[in-house]
Amino acid sequence: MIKQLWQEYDQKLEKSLQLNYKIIREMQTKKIEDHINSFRRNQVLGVGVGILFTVFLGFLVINSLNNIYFAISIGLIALFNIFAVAAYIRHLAMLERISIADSITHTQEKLAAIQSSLNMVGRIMILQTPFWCTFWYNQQLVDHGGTTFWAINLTVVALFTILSLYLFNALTYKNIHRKWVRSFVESFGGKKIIKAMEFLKEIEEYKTEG
Amino acid sequence: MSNQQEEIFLSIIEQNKGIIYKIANSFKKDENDKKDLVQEIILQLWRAFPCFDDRSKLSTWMYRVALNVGISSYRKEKKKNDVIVPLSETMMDFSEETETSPETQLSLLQQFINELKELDRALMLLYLEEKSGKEIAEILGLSEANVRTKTNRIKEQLKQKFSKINA
Repeated sequence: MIKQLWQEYDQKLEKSLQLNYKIIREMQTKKIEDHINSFRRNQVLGVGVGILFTVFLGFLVINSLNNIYFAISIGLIALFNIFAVAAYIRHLAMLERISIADSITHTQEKLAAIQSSLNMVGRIMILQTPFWCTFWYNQQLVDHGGTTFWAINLTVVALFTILSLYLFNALTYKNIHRKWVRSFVESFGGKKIIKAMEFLKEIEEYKTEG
Repeated sequence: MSNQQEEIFLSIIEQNKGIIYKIANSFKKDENDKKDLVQEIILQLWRAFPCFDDRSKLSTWMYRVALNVGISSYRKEKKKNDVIVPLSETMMDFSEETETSPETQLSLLQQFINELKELDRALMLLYLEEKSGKEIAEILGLSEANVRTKTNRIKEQLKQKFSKINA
């Protein structure tokens, strides 16, 4: 019965659909945006901004080698950013290798895997948080800061270290059923990433169930 | 693309315009979104056409591209400024008769298909287009046995939905 219904649909479409050849021919000359390229565009933007920020951090490090605390903190923050830029470049290389004419599960799995890996980039970037608490230290503070000052500061750094490590471990797909993990990832623009992770899982199950 | 290739491409699109529309109709609800998706499918087919080789059937290649674009587009949030070609001039025009009244069985079938998950929807579209189990497996990247099991499961789901409505 459903195939018969579908054939009726086919006949109806055959009669009513009209192709606009003029527009199709014009595609060669017009700049037409497409959905597949929008993700690539974001990655290129990420690489551009990331490189600029890393260069800026590198400039700061080179010009502050006399303050070892600043240089080490900013240097480590720069390393995290280099990692993010490298990950985005890797995504672009992976996107280049994806063929839209490959099988549906293969192509969609690759696309979802790239999007999902943004979650890993985000988790690793969280680990830089403690270094943002230490970049303003200098030799004078170390020598004359006093016990109370250092007790408070080291407590803050320790708290941020524990928090960032906790978040790094918690913000994974296996914990996405937890309401706060989902809200946290979503609040940082990760709605699409969650969807991609869910879709990736769905494809894996789809391929195996039978 | 040479003129000859361009003509071949256009005739392929002409022969397969129905499936392009059906895919757009299955993955988008809004009429303007459907037009955008038709545009995007044709654009991606156009781009991929020079790389098409005889290793796979033309229909397999076409369904792969069209469904990949359909699913990717469905999974992305709509951005208002995505439309570059003005809506008054779209690649595919459908007359009023294309839309059937909501009471018809066909409309129900379309609704039920649109309620399926993306991959099930793709599979059902291919099944209804009378593609063989082997070709569906090739397009989706599944085993033939897996395709058979899934097709039976979805058909059963659809039958149950129809019988509920008709009861």
